[in-house]
Amino acid sequence: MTTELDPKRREALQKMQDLRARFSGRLRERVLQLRESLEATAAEESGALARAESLAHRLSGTAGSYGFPEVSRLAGELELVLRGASFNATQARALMRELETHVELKSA
Amino acid sequence: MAICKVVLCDDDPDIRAIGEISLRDVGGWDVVCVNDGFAALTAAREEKPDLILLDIMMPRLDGPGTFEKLQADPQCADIPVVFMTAKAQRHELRGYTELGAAGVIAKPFDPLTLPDDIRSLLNQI
Repeated sequence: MTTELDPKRREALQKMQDLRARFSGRLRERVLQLRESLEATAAEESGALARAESLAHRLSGTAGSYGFPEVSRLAGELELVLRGASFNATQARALMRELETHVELKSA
Repeated sequence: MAICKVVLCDDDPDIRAIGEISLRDVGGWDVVCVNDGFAALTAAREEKPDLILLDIMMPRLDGPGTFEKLQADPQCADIPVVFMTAKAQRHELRGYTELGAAGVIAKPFDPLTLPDDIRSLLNQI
């Protein structure tokens, strides 16, 4: 049995799918920005850690809302690792690699 | 309470885009999107929304700072505010509702259920 969606909901779904496709196209760019910020923390650039944490935070919230739960989870974990006193560079790099691998696979 | 118009305040354009579709096309509400706390204050005064959805982490003026200014403005103090945050840890959620917010929506959210999630929160007030 198929359930007929009402036209407004069907239209909303279509718009969301279009947005998701566009977001998917930008996902690599956002992950690349995050990696660059993470590399800047290794070079001890001023404000790099806060910027990386902010990018991870935003990616976590946004990716999940666009239907990329694994990207959201990994970015959320990275955000926690990057947060102040708990910063662990090795762990951050490992999560970053996992995130990059996942996004590459997703976009392939 | 009945909702007709919502102000959605988030500095991330991707969240504004998916949130707007969710609130307008799924929720059936009028939506005004703004990208920072100062713009939310202006929209609250000019648009007289039934609800403000406020991101927590924003540059210039963050969510709690915006909320404080809304509360201090007699024109806006009665407008319910729901915070949106990816930092939805239990103790943080309690802190935001203790500030006087109507509730907290965790990011990521499901755009197909966001309006119902908001209605549920408001029904608990």
